[in-house]
Amino acid sequence: MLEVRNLHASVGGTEILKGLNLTMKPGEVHAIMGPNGAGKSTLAYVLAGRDGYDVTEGSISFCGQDLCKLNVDERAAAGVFLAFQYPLEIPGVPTMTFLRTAVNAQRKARGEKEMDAPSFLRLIREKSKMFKVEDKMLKRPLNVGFSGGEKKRMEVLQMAALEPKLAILDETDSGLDIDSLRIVAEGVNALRSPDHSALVITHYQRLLDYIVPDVVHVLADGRIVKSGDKTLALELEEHGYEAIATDAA
Amino acid sequence: MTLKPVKSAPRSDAESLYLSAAGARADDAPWLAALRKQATEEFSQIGLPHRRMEAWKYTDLRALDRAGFAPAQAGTTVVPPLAHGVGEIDEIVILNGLVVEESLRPERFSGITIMSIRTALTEAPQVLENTIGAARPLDRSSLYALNLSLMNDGLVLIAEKGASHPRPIVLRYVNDSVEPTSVHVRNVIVAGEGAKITLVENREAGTGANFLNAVTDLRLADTAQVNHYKFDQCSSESLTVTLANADLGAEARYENVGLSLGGKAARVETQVRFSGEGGLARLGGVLAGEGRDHIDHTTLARHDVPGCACEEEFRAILTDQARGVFQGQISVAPNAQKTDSRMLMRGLLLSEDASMRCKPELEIYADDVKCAHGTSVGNIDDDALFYMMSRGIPQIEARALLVEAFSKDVVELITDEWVRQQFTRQLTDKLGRIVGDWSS
Ligand SMILES: Nc1ncnc2c1ncn2[C@@H]1O[C@H](COP(=O)(O)OP(=O)(O)OP(=O)(O)O)[C@@H](O)[C@H]1O
Ligand SMILES: [Mg+2]
Repeated sequence: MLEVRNLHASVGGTEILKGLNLTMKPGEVHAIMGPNGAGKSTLAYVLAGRDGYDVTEGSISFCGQDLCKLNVDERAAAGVFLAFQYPLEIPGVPTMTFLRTAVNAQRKARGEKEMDAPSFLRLIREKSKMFKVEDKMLKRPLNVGFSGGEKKRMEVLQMAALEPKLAILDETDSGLDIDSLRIVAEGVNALRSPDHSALVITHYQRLLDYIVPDVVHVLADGRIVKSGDKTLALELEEHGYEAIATDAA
Repeated sequence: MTLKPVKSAPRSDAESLYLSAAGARADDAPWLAALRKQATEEFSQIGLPHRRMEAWKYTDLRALDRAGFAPAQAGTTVVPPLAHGVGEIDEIVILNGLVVEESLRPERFSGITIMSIRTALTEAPQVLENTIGAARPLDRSSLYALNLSLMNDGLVLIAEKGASHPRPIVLRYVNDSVEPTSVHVRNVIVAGEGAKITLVENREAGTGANFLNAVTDLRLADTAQVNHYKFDQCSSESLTVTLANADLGAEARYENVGLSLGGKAARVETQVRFSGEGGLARLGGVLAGEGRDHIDHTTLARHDVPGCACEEEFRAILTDQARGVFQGQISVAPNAQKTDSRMLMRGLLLSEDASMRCKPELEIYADDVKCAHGTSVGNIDDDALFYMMSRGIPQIEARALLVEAFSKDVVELITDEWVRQQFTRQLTDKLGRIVGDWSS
């Protein structure tokens, strides 16, 4: 489903990803862990197609398509979703307008019928219940005045409404209280199916107790330096990245 | 009041053309004849406002209006009603500068006297003498003088104490001449104690190039409420200069929000004088320009008494070579304690060549006042754009949403529901064009 080969990418002229390889099969959940500044968010942005994140070498194939050839919005319509490490506040754009525009733009791009107002409302009502997003939040401009945790729950609500083939969660667990963490994890697990995969970037083993990954990778200095099953996360928790990096070298 | 003559260039063709139309009108009462004579004299000395005058530094009408616009002849068109207003509003048509008498329909008003200036000249001259004759604008330009010198007609609306009119009164400036023509309109609005009215000045593009010079005097007695809106669809060869000159009694509320959609030069000036304690004014505007549009919103707020509040919220969205100007003057007299004043102007420049000039001016002589002001000019936030696109929203739609979001705070100032809808609709149409052109 996702095949990243020898990916080199630079930001502002500095090479951050230095030959990264990653293969995900349909329906799998992969976790990426790694020290601060290793390039985890960079990988997420490169996959989403952010301006200024230049692929200088290598390839990214997503469901048989060359991802690098698609615009940001086309990637989204193809099924890539990024839950931001730091979700943005967008004053003046009502949350519901934003959600409806996004849902229908993706449907249109895929040649599907747009969702009518009642079905859309039903969809959002269902998802907001699931992620404990209050009505008054939906009435505000997007993310404006939301707390850190509320913003993260809004990210997963968007994910659940858009049902992406590949959900990339960049430290969605950071700053969440225990209950919110469980709610977010349930959202990811609910989406999990042969057609829906997730790439979960995290610093904490705790999240992986709830979202049990098929594969755990360690990303350090722009490369995947070690991969293993869920026990790798426990190992990291115990010994730290230093040991792993030396081990891998 | 006399103006210091500014040493000026020889008279331009435009100035000569305007002066050739000046002179006493048959119906003028002696006081008006005298005012006109003085005003004509003033204009002949000063000419059109130009960049060496502080208040017109960024809007040089002498440069923008070289050839001039001949006085308009009476129109012949039967003006159809606004499609989206039937039954919901009261329309008054001013065709080529003259009030279409049949459009007045006094039977639709109660507690409100409504007539044309032409009628008032003979039937209620005292009202005009007490208003036009006694008007004391905070700043008086040579265009104000020109208006006095050349005006033939306009609307007189007098709301009695406690009168409340349920519908927006829409004053439509329509022009059906093919040749470039000018009209000079004067409106007089008097709202008695506790009266409530909503007035919309709707400047329509017209058939040919034209110049609208409109002055509206507003007197708000204690606790009166006037909601005053301006829609300006000035075409790229036309000029609009409108001045609203409002005087607020105690606890009066005045709301003035304008939407300017273009023009060779469009200047919307609002002057508010707080004459009674506890007055509140909310002023706003959206300047949306493309091509070579030049749009200027200028405000003057004068606090002569304590305890009044003035909120100002302006946005400019400009592309191509469009130019925007915002001037906001706030003056607080020494005794005007507890004045609360807030002024914010933000500009969004969507092209390299678009430009925005901002001139906030604060003259505060009282010490216990709240006064916040800010101006900023920038472009669309790339991070916000990426965020929206990452949810599948195509770039052009994402930009349109962000640009529309940008003017939200101004739209939210508008109390009247019908006006708010019109405002949003016209602005969205315009922004659709601006954003569409810009991405191609
Ligand atoms: N615009 C930029 N210009 C130059 N360097 C950048 C830029 N953005 C990020 N970097 C650098 O790229 C490296 C990787 O950053 P990235 O955000 O991908 O790290 P991360 O693995 O997500 O870290 P964390 O765990 O702290 O979130 C860092 O050294 C960072 O300083
Ligand atoms: Mg990161």
